[in-house]
Amino acid sequence: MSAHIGSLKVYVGVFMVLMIGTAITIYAAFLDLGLFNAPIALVIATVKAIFVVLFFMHVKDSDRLTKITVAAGIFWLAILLSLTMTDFLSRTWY
Amino acid sequence: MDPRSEQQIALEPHHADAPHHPRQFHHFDTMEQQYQSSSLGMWVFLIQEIMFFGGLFVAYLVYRHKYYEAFGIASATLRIDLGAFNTAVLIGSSLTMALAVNAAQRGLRKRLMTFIVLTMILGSIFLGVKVVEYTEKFEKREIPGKNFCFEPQGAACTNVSHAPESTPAILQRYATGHFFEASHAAAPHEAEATHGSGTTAESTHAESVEPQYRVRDAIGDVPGSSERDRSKPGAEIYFSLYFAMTGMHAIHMIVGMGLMAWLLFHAYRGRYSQTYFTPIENFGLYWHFVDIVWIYLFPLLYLINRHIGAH
Repeated sequence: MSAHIGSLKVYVGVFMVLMIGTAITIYAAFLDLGLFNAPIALVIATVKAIFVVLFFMHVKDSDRLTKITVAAGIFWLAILLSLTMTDFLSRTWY
Repeated sequence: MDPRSEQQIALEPHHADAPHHPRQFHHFDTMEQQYQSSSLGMWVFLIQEIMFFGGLFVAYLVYRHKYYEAFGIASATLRIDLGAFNTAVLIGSSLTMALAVNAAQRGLRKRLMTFIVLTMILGSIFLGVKVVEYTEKFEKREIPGKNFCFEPQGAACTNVSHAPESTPAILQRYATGHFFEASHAAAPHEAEATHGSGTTAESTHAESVEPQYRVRDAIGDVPGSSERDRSKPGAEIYFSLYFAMTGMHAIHMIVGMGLMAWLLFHAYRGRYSQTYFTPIENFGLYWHFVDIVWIYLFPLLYLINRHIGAH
């Protein structure tokens, strides 16, 4: 089978990135960054999620079909989030 | 289950014409094709999971926007130390799961079993911490519903018919069918007995519930109500989402624990090898997905508005 066998160093490295990301997000939560608190927390969470998807879930070394499937899922989630919020944010009664 | 060994099955007459891997199904041409089909199927399932959790995240986003202040106040009652500890534990379990998949790919049976057990231990620690957190919320009555009580400053809730109970007392009450009332308050003769002896907590119950509900049912501002009262409906919605999201996440972890027990059993039996490890790899995808959900839940539920307390 052609499944990619990752190296142990990469896995431990990704683990370290995730732990550091967690530490940064906790530290940033206690700073008063005004409007930027929520976006920074979400950006850090997204970076962590990307590391998990690419390395732990092997998407980086998977075939094109898997990559397209993952991208389609994220695209649909983006539709769910963005179209719902454009509706709610643009209504006066809300 | 077929009692014959895999070698015996492989030597069946039709297999003699076209020998194949004992784990290959006949409707696949090759193990490679079977692996790719299985992998695609798992990813499609995970896309469905993204949509499923996505609905909860959209609900969170809408109400976070609507009850911005109340969400911050309610979030501050969560224990950030336990949340951070659980985040580390779950990231650690993702690492051990990745190493388990790696061991399976290399055909290292003992190492595969070790890492599955480690992942199960870390998953148990996570769920154990969740039990501690939920217990605290139940004892403080920060549970959406009739007796919802949200007083971060420690004031008494007027809608709550009786004093905070210990968890065993709550379970005892639920076991006897008294979901909303203390069991002694539900029994009329006992309630009268305590009434006479001057206990106030139970006796104020009937009069106090009604006005409290008017405030809680209102969506948005209630003229003349205090800042604290206005935050209440939002806080209740926050806790609804907290329990729905972390609860659904915990159910996924419990399912994962069961699947790992199943994988461990088959790993022990020697089912997986360098040429066949699809179930381990697909379960790994599921476990990492559950980890990603928590990566978003932790900042959204535990870390919002923490900087306000820092002033």
